[in-house]
Amino acid sequence: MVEDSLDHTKAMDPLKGDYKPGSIKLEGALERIKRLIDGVEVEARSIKRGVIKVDPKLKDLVLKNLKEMGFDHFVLLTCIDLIDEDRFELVYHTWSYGTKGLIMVKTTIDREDPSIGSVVPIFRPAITYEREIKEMFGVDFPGNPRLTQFILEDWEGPPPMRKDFNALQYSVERFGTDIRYPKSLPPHLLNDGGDDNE
Amino acid sequence: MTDDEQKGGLLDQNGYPITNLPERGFVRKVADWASSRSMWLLWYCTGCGAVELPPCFTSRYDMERYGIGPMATPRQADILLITGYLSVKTLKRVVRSYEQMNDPKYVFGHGSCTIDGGMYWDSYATIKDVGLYVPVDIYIAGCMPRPEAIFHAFEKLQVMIGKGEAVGWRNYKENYQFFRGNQDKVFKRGPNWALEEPVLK
Repeated sequence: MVEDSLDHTKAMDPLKGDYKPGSIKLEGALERIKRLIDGVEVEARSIKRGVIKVDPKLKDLVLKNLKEMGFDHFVLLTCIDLIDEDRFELVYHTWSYGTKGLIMVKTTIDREDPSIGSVVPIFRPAITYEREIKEMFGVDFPGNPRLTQFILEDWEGPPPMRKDFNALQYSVERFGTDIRYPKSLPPHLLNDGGDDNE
Repeated sequence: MTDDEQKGGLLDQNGYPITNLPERGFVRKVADWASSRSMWLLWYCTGCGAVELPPCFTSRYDMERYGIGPMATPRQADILLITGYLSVKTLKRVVRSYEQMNDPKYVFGHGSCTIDGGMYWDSYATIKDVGLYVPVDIYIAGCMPRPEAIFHAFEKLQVMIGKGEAVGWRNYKENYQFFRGNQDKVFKRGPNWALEEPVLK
């Protein structure tokens, strides 16, 4: 399958010649990752989209190999609060200009005291994404050189994008909406578990 | 707000500080009449309401018929139009701009977000009531208010200035503790904040 996909590159390449000598088709890349690294789950959702589920310790190795295979555009890094499983899921999106395919590398970490190694040595644009996730979810990224205050100015509350953060209760306490409209807020909303944050 | 913070000030029925209308002499009345027909509107946009301003400025509605023109800097402006929702970060800049403006100065709360938060009523980053932080002379309700509503507010402000009722800027100085206390609850003033506590002359 790997060899089969190699000759497809030139036709898809928008630039002259080979964009990257090692770039291969998306299914081939997934297959190669599966052969190289033990303990990863791969899934090709379509010809342009693949998912790799991996242990946090092995995510650097997977991303390095993907980069060598042509998936060298770090699109974005997102965090998902899986509150029912008590985990955070981090999704690293990488894009290949050679095959025009997107591969998502998914990994989950513990929700208590969350911490995961930075991928800045591999993909430098991750600096800003990790800063944002540190502020919005409270996930620590040891190795990131710039984990400073980002968007929220003078913030004293818990990380606001966590699902157990009650935005209405926080805004009432901080902005004093009840000073003027003490009876306009339905009391059941104040006791809600923060579901309306979604 | 406790009684200690509010020393001797007047409160309206909603608990907001108000100020007595000052006595005006003949010269002051003439000057107020004249200044109400020559005002500069600070070109400062905080939210989505800014899209209503270009039609006001330009030939369709032509704000200059009323003697009102856009101004780029707060130190030369008379009117601060708060166009839409204010995040905590923006509020900090609004207060700083407002304190740089010269007296007399007037504030419009434009859109429902400035009144009670509007569609950001449960947001963790958006303040709900601008009147707690800066004194608002006129609120324009709506989401969004059309330029006709803005002109209605302009006309009303001219009448209020002519009668000597637009005293939000005096209110800010007389009841500074109220506004400053609310400001300190939501943001911190940096070390380079230029102005000291305002004094009513």
